[in-house]
Amino acid sequence: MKLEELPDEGAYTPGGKSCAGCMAANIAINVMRILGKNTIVSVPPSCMSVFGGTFPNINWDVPYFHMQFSNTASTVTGISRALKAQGKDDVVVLGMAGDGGSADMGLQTLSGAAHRNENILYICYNNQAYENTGIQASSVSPYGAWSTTTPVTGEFTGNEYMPKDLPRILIAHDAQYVATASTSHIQDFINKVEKAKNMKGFRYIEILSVCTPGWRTESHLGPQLAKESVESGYWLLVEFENGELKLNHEPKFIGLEDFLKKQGRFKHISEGQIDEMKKHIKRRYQTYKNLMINNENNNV
Amino acid sequence: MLRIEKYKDMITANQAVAIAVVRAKPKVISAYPICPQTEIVEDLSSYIAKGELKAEFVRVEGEHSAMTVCAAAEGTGVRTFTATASQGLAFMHEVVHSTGGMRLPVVMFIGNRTLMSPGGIWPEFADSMAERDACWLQIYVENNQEAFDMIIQAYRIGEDSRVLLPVMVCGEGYVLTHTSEAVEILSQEEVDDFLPAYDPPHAYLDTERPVAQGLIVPPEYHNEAKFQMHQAMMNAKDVIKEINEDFSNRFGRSYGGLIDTYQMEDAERALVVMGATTGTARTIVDDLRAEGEKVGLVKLRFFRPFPVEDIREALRNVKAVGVFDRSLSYGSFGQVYTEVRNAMYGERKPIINLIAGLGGRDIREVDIRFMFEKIKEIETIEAIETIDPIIFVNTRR
Repeated sequence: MKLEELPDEGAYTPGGKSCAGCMAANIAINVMRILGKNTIVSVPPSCMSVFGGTFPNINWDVPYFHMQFSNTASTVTGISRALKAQGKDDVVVLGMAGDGGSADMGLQTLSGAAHRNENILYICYNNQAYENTGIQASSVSPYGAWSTTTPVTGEFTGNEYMPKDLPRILIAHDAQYVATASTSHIQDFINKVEKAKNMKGFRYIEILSVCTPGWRTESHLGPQLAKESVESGYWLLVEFENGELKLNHEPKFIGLEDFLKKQGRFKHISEGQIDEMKKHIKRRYQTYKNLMINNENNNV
Repeated sequence: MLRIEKYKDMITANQAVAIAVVRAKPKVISAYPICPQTEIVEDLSSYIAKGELKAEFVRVEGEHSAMTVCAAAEGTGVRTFTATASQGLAFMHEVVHSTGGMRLPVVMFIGNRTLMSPGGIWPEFADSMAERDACWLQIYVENNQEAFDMIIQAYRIGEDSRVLLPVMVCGEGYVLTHTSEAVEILSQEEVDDFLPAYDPPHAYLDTERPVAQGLIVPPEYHNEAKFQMHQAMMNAKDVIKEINEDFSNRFGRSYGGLIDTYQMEDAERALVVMGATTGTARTIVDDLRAEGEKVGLVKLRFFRPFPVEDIREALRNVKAVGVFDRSLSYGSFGQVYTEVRNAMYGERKPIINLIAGLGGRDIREVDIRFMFEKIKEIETIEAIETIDPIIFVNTRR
C-alpha cells in the first residue's frame, strides 16, 4: 500500500483525549487505517488505554479487550487461540502496549508468545518511559535522560543505564517477524504493518513514539524528532523476517546534538554523556550489522 | 482410550477432574505445572494429543498467563479450563480479579496447598481463601466423586445468564488430588445432555459486532458495575440449588446445595466443617452418637457466595457451634469462622474457632473428638463474650 492509498478513515475513530502532539495516538490511527475492521485489539493499562478506552467512550471501532499491564501478549494469545478453536482464521489479533508493558513487566509473556509463535501482531509503541504515570524511567529509557525517577540534582545526572534492546531480544527468539518503525518514515511504517497484517504467526513491530510532555518538548515537534532520531542513528529501522535481518535505512549518524537539544529531558546532558550515547549508538548499529552475517546470502 | 460410556474407576481427584474436563468439552485450556494439580495438566495434554478432547492447549510460561489466556479466550466466547495451586494462584491474583469483574465464567480447579512462608507443598486453604474477594464462586469438595461432579456443575452454574461468573472448584492437595477413590464417571451423552455446548448469548469479542470488555470505568459508573457483580453472586445461590436438584434427579447424587448437613435434625452441638476433613468428621459423629452425644455436622460447600441463610437455618437449634478452619487470617480468625459468626449475628450462641491441619498436618480422629469436646465445654456458657474463641488444635506452644 502506498501512502496515497492509505484511507482517510480507519478503525480508530477521531476525537481522542491524548495530549497535544501525542505520537502514540498518531500510531494507533495509522495502524488501524492499515489493519481495518477485521481486527480485535487488546491494550493494557497505559496512556493508550486511558485516552482511547475509558468507559463510556472508546476510539477503537473494533472489538477491544483491556487486561493487565503485564500480560498483553498472553491476552492476545487467548483471543487468537479461541478464534482458532472457533474456526475463524482471518482476524488480525493485535496487542498494542507501551515500552514499560513490553520490555519490563510484560517481557515474560511477550517472550512466551514469541517462543510459541502465537498467531498475533504485537505493536510496542515505545515512548521511552512510563509516561502514563507521569514520566518514570523504564528499562528502555535513554541513557542520561531526566525522568521523575531519574532526577537531575547534585550528583544525579539522569538515567544511569543504557536502554535494553527489545527487538534484538525478540530476534534471539528466532521470532517470525520483528521490525522497528518510525512515524517519520511513513512508507516504511505502512510496508511493515501491512506485511505483518498479511502474515500468520508471531509478529512484533516496535515504533518510536514521541511523547511531547514526557520528552519535555513542544507539541508540534513529534514528527521532526522522529525524523531526527532515525537520521542520527538514535533509532534504527530494521526488519527481521524468516531469519533474515535487514537495515531498512542507513543512518547518517548526524544531528544527535540537535535532536537532544530540542528535548527538556536532556537539558542537563554533559559532553561526556553525549559521547557515551554516541558510542552506544554506534555499537548497537554494529551489533545489528554483525547479526546480518547469519543472513543466507550474507549481504553485510 | 478414555471410555465414553458410564463407568466406575479407582482414581485420584486429579484424574477425576481431568476426565470431567474432557466431558465438559472446553475449547481452550491453558495451564502451568505446580504441585499438587500437575497431573491434571499432564492428563489433559495427553487427552488432547490422543484426540479425545478437541481443544487448544496453551503451554504458557507462568500461571499469570494461564489465567490471562483463559480469561481472554472466554471473552472471545469459548469454554475454558485451568488448574493451579498455592503460589501459582497467588501469582495469578490480579488476573483472577479481572476475570471475576469481567464476568467471564472460567472454571478452575485448585489443589489446595499452603502459601509461603513457611514453605510447603501440603494441603491448607490459604491459597483460595486469599482470592475470596475476587468475585469468583468457590466450592470446596469432600471427595473425588464430588470433585468430578462439581467440575461438570461449575460450568452450568457459572455460564448461567443469571450468574455469569467464574468458578473455583477447590480440593485439598494430596488428601484428594493424590488419593484414589471409587468414582463414577458419567457418560459423555449424559454430560452433553446436562451441559450443552457453550453458546454465549451475551457479548463477546466478535468483529461482526464490536464490543469493549474490561474498560477503565470512572467513579460515575463504578458503584453500579460492582453492585451488579454482587447481585450476580447473590443470584448464584438459587442457581446452585436448582442445578444441584437437576443433577440429583438425573444422576442420583445430591450435595444439598450451598451446604450439606449430617445428623443435624436433633443435634445440640455442631461442627461446621469443610473439604476432605468432612469424611473423618462424619465417622466421629457416628461414634459420638453411639456414645449418646447429640452431635452433628454442617458441611460448608460454597464459601462464595456465602450461605448466610442456610447456615442460620442449620444452626438454629444447636446450643453450641465449633467452626473448623484449615487456614487463618493472622491477627483475626479463620476465614470460615469470621463468616459463620457473622451469619449468626443476633443469635446468642457460643461459637468457637478450631484451627487445624495447617500446612498439611494430619487431622486425626482424635483431633475431631477434641473439637467436639471443646464445643461441649462452651455449651453452657451464657456470657459468650468471655469465651476465648480461637483454639489451635494439635499445636505445640
